[in-house]
Amino acid sequence: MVEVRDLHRYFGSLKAVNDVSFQIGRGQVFGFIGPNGAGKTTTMRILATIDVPTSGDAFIDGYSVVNDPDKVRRIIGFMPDHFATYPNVNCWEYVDFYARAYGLRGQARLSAVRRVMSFTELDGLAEKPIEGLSKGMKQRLCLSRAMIHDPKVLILDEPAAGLDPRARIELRELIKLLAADGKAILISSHILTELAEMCEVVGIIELGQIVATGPVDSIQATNRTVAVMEIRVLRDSELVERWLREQPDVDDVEASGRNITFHFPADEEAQSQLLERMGAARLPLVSFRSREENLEDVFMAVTKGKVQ
Amino acid sequence: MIPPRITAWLVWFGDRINPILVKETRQALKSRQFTGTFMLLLAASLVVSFGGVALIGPEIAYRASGGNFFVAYFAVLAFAIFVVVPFGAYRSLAAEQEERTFELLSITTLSPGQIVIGKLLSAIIQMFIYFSAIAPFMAFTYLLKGIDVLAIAFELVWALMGSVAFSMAGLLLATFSTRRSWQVLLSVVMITGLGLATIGSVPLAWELTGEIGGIMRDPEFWLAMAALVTAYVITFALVYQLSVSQLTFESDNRSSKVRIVLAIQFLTGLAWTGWTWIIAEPGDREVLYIAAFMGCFFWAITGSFLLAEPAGISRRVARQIPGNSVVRAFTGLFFPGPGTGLAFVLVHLLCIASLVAFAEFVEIWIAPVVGPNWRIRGTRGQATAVTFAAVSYTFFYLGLGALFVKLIRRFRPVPPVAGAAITAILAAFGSLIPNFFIMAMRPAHYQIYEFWQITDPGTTIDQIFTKPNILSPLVLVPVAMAGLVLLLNLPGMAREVCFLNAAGRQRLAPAQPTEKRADDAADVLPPVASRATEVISNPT
Repeated sequence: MVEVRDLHRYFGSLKAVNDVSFQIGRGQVFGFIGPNGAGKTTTMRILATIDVPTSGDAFIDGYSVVNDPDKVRRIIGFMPDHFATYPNVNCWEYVDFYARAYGLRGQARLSAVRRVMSFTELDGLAEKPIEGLSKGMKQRLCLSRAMIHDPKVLILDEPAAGLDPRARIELRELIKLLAADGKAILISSHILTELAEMCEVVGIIELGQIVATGPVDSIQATNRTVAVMEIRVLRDSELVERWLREQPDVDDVEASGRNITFHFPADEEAQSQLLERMGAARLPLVSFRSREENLEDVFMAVTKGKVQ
Repeated sequence: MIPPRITAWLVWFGDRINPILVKETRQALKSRQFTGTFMLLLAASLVVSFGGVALIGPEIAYRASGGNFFVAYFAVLAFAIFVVVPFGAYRSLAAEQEERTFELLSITTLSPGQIVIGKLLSAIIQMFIYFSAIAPFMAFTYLLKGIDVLAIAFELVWALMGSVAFSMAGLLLATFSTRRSWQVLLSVVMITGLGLATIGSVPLAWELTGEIGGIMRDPEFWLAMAALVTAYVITFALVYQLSVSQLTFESDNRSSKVRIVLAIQFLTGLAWTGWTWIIAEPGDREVLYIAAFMGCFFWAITGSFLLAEPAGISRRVARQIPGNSVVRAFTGLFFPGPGTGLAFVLVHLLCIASLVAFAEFVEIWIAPVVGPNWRIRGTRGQATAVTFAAVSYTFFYLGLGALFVKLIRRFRPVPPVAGAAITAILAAFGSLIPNFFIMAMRPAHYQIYEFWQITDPGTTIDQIFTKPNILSPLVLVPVAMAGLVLLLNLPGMAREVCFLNAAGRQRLAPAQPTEKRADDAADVLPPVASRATEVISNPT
């Protein structure tokens, strides 16, 4: 549904986007992660046909954002990282205006406005001036606007920024519903734990380049060479700690009561062998597991924290 | 109770109204600015009415005071329609850019033209509301005598046209920059310009109120009005097209429609000049001078922007190049690019030079044979020599500007406005530096024309006026200078023309996604020639 191919965007000597490529399938939520200034927003703006690439291209449902922006605009919904609104306009008028701007007429327009306002649960606030809305409600309104023409692709730039926990959870649920409806969704966020919950695939971008892309598990597997192992013993934790320090490839052993953590190769074969050796040494083991890495760990592992 | 059929028609009509107009009207009806201006207009009109009646006293019964009252109401109306409405239109679009709502608007299916028209229509609606507020007071002036209905209508129509023109200019100004600092500067420029226009319009209305009845009886007045209306319409079209092109997506064609309007504007000017030349006194060549100088000035201004258009044509524009070589030959100059821009200007300048030479040839050699009483005024060949020099200077400085822009673009981007500024600076240097030396070296009464002042069009053309000779070095050197910059620009111009030719012949195929859409299966374009693709990415 979305194909970004060798995308470059330079601002003078600044390479904001430098050879970015990825794909998003129908009904897929693609998380776009990166530090500030990494090139996320520029890439999204190019996909939304607001900006043009210096070279490369991107295709939405087969249409080029460079050559066919008019066609692309009919099938994308874009939610920017800022809420752009007009004075003296209420919620219904705001959404109705964009429905008209997308060429919806008559009953189709009215039902589209009702549909999106109901979906975002704003129907009770139709007559409320936008200035009086909370941040969460404004984000919902912005999502309504982006969805008014029932686009196949949604590009959401930091939609959860500034939202309270409840509003974030509600937004996440809305996005899951949209994906279930078959829409391809590109979403950027700084709240990585949330992205991990709703994204099947992520792309990590730094200094304008994609440093890792694919399903979260696959990126973890690719980038993880050392795992943090956690074991719990029944007794004799000092003895176990000493035994571990003598083992090859074991580092940073730390004991805290009956819990011991240490670094060990992420290779599951090696972990299995270590467990076998522990059994043979008759250590009083209660549990043995590799600590689950989350998206934040992956992000920290693959990025270097450089900014341009 | 409204019949269902009318309701259905109203819904149908409402759906087809420009969305921007619907939004802006909704906003305006809720805004304090609109309500405040409307109330202020009514209050000021009431003050004028009561104050004027009280001031004139019982004499109002027999004194023709309608004209005075009309001008007072006009002043009130002028503030609303010459300041408030155009500035509101300007702010409306500028705010869209500042608040970045324009970005969201630009990715809807609304075209830039619809956005501009929507903004303009909402300004016009406000104008009509203000007009309707003051209409009863205007009718009141007619009852007071001293002004006739035709004069009232004439002045109000021009006031309306003026307000529409100012609003359109405001919309164009709003597209110039998205930066807040520039917007503040442009706001000051806009307010100052509108204020001066308002202040100037009141004495004009006063003059017209007294004179218009008599002037209207003169047939030449209506001819002048027709010329003015033509100029108004075509300039309005140009300003509209410029606004639209400023708002058009970067990879789209921003230039062709502007060039079409420029060509129409030129042809219209040519038609009016031709007509004036025909009806002017036999042998009077002032029309030719005015036409030549105005033509050169027009192309100097517009050309300075065209020569700094971005180099290179996007794939999207390349696909619009006609495949037919004959059509391509006629339309090639209308496609974007600095080289085609310079060639476009050159064609029109040559057209001016040829037409003036032809007109003078007719005056000197044909007219005396046809009409025995024909007597040429001035020296033979004067108009041709002056026009050749003016045209050559115009092209020389434009060509020089194009070379400088190309040079600077090797190091940093140059927007069209900067290109125009560079050309203006070069022309200013070429004109002022020789005169500066003359002034520094010699006392005022010894300051005669020196040949090294040849770079200054003003003094050189003045010399040609006094000693007109088409073969004089004062004419031939500027022509040679123009020829030289043409030669230097020729490779770039030729490259662009070759590219247009190649792209048109090979019908460039757009880049394709890895997985093509099913409905695109039949849409297979011929293979792309590597040379054409290469030129697209780096045409210069």
